[in-house]
Amino acid sequence: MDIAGFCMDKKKCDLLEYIYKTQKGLSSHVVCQISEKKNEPGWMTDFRLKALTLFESLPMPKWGCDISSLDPSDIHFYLKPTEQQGNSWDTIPPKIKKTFEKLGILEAEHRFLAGLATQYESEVIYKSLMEKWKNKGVIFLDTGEGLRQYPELFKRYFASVIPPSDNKFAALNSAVWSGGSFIIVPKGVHIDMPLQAYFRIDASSFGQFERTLIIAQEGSSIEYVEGCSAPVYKKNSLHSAVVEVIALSGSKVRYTTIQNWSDNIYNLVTKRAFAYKDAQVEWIDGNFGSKVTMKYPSIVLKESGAKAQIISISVAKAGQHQDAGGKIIHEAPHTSSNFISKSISQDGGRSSFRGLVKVADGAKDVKASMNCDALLLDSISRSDTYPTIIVKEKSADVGHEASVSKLDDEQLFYIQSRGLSHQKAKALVVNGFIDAFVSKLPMEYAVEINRLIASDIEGF
Amino acid sequence: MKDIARVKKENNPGKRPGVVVSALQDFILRYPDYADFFKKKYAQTTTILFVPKGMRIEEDVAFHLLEQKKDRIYSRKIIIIAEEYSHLKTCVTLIVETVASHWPIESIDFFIRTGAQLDFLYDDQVPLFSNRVGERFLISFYLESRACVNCYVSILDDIAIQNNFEFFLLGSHAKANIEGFYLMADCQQLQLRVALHHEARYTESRLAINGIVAGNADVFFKGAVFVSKEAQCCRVAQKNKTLLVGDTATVSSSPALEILNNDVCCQHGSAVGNLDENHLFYLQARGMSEAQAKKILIEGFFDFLLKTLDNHGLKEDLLRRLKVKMRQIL
Repeated sequence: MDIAGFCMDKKKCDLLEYIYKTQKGLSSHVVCQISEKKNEPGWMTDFRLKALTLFESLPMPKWGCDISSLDPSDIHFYLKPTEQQGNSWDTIPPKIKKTFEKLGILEAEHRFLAGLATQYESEVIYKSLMEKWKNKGVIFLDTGEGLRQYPELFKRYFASVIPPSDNKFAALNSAVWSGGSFIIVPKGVHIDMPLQAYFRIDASSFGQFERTLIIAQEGSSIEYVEGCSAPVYKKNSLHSAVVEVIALSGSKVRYTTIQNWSDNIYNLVTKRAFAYKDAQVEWIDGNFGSKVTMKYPSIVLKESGAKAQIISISVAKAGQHQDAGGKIIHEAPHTSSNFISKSISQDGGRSSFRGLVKVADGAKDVKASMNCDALLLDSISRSDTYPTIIVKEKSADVGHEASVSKLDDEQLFYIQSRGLSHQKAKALVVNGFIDAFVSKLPMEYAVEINRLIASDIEGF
Repeated sequence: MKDIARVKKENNPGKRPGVVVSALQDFILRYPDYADFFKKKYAQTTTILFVPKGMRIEEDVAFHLLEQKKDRIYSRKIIIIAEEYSHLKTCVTLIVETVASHWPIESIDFFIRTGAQLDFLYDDQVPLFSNRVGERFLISFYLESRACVNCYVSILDDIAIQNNFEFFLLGSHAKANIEGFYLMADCQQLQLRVALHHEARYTESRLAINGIVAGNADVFFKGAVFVSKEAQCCRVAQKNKTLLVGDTATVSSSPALEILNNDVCCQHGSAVGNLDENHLFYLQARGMSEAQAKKILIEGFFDFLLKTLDNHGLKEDLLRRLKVKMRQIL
């Protein structure tokens, strides 16, 4: 049983009749329609329209993956599946419930989650939070609801980490965002079970643009896990999320993503965290699916004592280009960071690592390390590594190491001599290779990932 | 600086049998087989140095790219051909002594034929002239099977030109070994790009370029390795270490790999840091001043780099300039 929900169901499901959808293509009319449907305040509509102008004026990135076949005029930018958001599964339309049941989300919720939000197409259709955490003042809403219930707080933090001008797809998301999670962890509250969000795209020629905002107040801690999946269609869909994390003094945030989109999805995501005094931020980023992924989660260490960690893993199979990595920017003294990237390419897939470690002038006694290992499983696959180190402070200590290799024949021989088949031996070595990533996951997820990798490698 | 004019006179390669130093048009008259290849890509006035099959030139052949008077510039490109199983030692010294309206040289192309070996020293001594900023200087190496190039890059006085090195390992078992250092201080800027293209099986490349950056200097290093589908069983190692001792200095290092087949062993490493506090403390505990301790550690950092210079005649001169520069930094 796939309890964590990312060994995904790539079969097409019965198509739902959406209660509302915008026409294909992007225009100010579509943006206004979305804003009106969501009954948003005027400043948000203005914000969306400004972002749309920016999206139209910014050029397509000339580096990274080939996204030339992505056609915004052939995409629905908003699909509303149900009228009401529920906090009980009984209120969810049976067709949608069945999809999430098949994915194992319901069972996971019962067993080990503090809270769960599920987004189906453009809207969060279900959310729940354990009473225990509600009583402690934890806020876990979908982002639109966050805007309605906490307008002041929302306005203060929204787009403060990633402004629409950041890049073309951040501008696009700012113009048409819908759904996502809005989380505030109050001072000193440690949520010791993960909160999970699950994103599902069932429609073809559709764009999902969730917007997540996490604020961990002083001395709090949170672990957030997101999983993504979609069935296979001939037509391409787009997933372009923006995730902003603000880790205030002494807080700890771990954000885990396990992306297993089907191979007709363009996954172009912007994620960034600000870490203040003594805060710790971790991005645990697993990329297994999608046609094209361009995702570089970043951490800006704003105040002294902050710590950053990025563990990124990507598996590129036939027809996939995983362009993943991350950025760590040290703006304050006595900050440290650790960056581990593992990539696996097989069956003609291409995985690229793009990493940046930057130490600003005046950020004294910074320690940073960046490691990147790539495994090529056959002769038709490709692996690229593009690390960049920029140091403007003499007391900084920054190191980078990378290696690209094939599976070690001696290791395979050793395992095979103990009676395992060649395929099983391969899967075992690959699982060992990504151990740094898997060991950071909650146990239930780790088991699933090992199984997912094994099935990919063994080919069944 | 050793008198390069004298070096040229002593080791005038043109006096050896079969060696040609001339304009391309004269060379083609003598070796018409090369006509088709060169005519397309190079102007007739391009300077060429041709080392015939099996010839060993073990003394340094110096190309002193001196720009004193405009009329001394013959061509903006140089071609050097080391024929099969020859051995050539050469050094290129970039010196600009006057301000001129145009850059003396654009590129140098080395063709290293089967089994030939090239020992090459690049010594960049271009001082600050504002009209040089952004000038691009390209040195390309084309290696046939079992050819080998040992390239040593020394950059002490550069200001703002772009130093580009390209290595094309076209034949099997070709080998490129690149070592070097940079010592940047004051307001110097360095741009160094090294690209390695592995196009054949069993090719090997090793790159280790390390440096010290002080004062207000700005260093940009980009290493790129491309391994094609055909280049099975190749080995790549890249290292770039920088000691950052300047308060306002900037270092940017970007060693990239692009690999299209799986039977490879590729590694790269890059590090930027200051002197180890424990090492400084150890030396200071033995009665040395901080400055003395720093000097010893910096000298130690460079010592292992200079070892490889032993075979080059210019070592003493480099050492002398290095010491002068080091005094400036400390």
